[in-house]
Amino acid sequence: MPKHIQVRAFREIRKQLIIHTEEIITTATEEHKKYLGVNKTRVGFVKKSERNHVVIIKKISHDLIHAPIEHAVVFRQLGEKIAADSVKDGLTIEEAVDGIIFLKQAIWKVLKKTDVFTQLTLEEFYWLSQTIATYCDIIASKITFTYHELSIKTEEQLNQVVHMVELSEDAIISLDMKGRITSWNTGAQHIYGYTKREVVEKTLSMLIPENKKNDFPMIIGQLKAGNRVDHYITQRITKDKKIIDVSISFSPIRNSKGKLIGASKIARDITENIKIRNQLAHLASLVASSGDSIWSIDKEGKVVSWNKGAEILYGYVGKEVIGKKPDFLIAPEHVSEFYKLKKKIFAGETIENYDSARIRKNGAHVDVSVSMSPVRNNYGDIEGISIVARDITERKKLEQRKDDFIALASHELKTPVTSLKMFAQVLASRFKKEGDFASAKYMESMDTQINKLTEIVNGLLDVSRVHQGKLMYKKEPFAIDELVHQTIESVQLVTNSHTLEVNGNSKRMVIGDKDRIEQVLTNLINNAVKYSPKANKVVIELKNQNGNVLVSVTDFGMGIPKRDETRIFDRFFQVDTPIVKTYPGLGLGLYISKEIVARHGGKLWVESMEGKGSTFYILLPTQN
Amino acid sequence: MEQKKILVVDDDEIILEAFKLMLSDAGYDVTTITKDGIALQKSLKQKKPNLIILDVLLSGADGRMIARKLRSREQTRSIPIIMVSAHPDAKDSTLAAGANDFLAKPFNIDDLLVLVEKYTY
Repeated sequence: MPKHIQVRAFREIRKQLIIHTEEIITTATEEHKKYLGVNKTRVGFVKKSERNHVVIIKKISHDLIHAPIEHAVVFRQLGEKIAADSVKDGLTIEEAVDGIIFLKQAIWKVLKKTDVFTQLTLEEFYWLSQTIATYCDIIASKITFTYHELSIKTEEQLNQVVHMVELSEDAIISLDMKGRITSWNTGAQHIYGYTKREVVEKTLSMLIPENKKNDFPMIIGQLKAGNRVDHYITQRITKDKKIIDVSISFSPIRNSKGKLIGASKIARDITENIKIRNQLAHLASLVASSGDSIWSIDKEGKVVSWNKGAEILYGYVGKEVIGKKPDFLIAPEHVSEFYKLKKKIFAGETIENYDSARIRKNGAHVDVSVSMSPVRNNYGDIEGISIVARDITERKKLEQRKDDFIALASHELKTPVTSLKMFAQVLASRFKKEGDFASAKYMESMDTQINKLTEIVNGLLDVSRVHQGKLMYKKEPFAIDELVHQTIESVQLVTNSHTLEVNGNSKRMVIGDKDRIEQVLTNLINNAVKYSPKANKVVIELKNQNGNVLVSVTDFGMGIPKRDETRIFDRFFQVDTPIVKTYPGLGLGLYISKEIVARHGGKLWVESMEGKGSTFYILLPTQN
Repeated sequence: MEQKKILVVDDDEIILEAFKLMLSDAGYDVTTITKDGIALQKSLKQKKPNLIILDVLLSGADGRMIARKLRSREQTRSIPIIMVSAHPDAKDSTLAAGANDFLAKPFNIDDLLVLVEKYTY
């Protein structure tokens, strides 16, 4: 309806109310007497009600006269005021609701007696009738809601509630007995997309999607039976045809005689909640069905969750473990490690795939790969730790078989290599004695190649030992400077292309395995020569650094790309450039070297510039 | 000067042959045996060596056991033993079993000859 017509209609009502205020009051009194006077014992009550209704109607008239002519605002303000006034005036819920119902009738009566209707078009009349009905119903349902649902006793609380209803993100709707919508708050508008005007007087079924069409008869049935419905989860359809998940609560509204007159309905959009719940359910089923053992502990370190995988791995069911400290699940030699890790996780760290051992219910040890991460609450605080463990018995068996095979194969390879080497050396020496130096040289070349083969075989054996943690070390003090010089001398003997330059000294003793450190030095110097084919020197430096010895090996070759600087220490890694691919070797040297240095409590790293060369550093702790 | 006698025990005939060639060329009297037990005892009775070169892993026996037995018997207690093995980690256990020295296979002829000379001097 165009605004100017609304304005006209309002002006008419206002005019009529001014003229007929007294008449309304009189009629009200008379009508109300008739309405309530049946029960003689309630005379006192009637009198009080009469007074109150007079007050209410006076207020309405006053408010209508002085309110700005914007109907929605007027009605809302009036509704709030009347609800508040009813409480302030000490009215019971029934009185307040009856007053409103009566008021509606009274207004109609007055209007009928006047010539207002004759002056209005059909459209204006329709709007006016709807507006008055809606207005009264809104007030009635607001009061009902206020009393019934929240037992509000004071004006202050009431104001809060009225405010709450309006500002509520929940849809708060009232219905009559036929399921027609009689009030509609902004929350409802927000959730369903309809304005009050679009829904009032229409049935609730307009909000019910096809797949939930049984909801409507069910609601009407419950309504008629006077039952409450709490947190009924269902679906609704919005103005733009979107299906939303809602949680709905219904309460019956009764008049003073206890007769059902409608229902208040609160609907909450739980589409997001449902989505999150579905995601959680999905995750929960993933955890539940996972073959990995997944369990968690709380802040006190007690087990709080335990999945099927954990039952299978450990042999305990949830109730045997939940609430207990998990020490009995961990192999004794790993308990202190577990507590160290736990501390780290509570500090926010995450541990991934570290090998450990656990104990089954039957006492058997089981090898596991464990990942631990913090469990955080909504505020980001760490509430506990999740522990994922995978049975790696099979993997360990396979690794063992592989390492055993490598050990066996390398031993078997060495036997023919040993005899080849012995014959080559004997023949070289015989050729020399006979003056056949050319043949002696060939035999020596053969011996050199056999040495390379031996190195490869030893490398494989070392890797399998490193992997099994079986690389043996001696613990003897030795002079590192002397070892570096000796190593350089022996490498220089077989290196013609490069000069090995050595600078500085540390004057320190290192405790460890001299042969293994020599192996590292030899590997680094050989690499320096191998990867700098166009250079003619390698520089080795010895330095004393804060009680440690720092040995550096610098080449002037092709350098290492930044992305490979840490990967070169991986097993079987080779710098992946076409130029370098032509260089022999299995890519085991640096892996083994790093392990040897680490076992000595030291550190091995590289600094490199592509095209300029690389420097490898060995930092070793010294005796003092 | 009398030739020094060396007894080499290994289960690989080719290696034994290589030892024989190598040590004979260097002027030693070399006896080789592939079997343990009876063959070894027989050999020891026939010709007491100045040095025994003993492999760690022999088919059917552990060279370290043999070394222990040799050390426990009066007549062989003083014979120096060099143990050889393709397992470089075996060094400590061979020394513990009574070997005088250890050499990892494959080795340089010079390294062997230095050791042999040291114990037959």
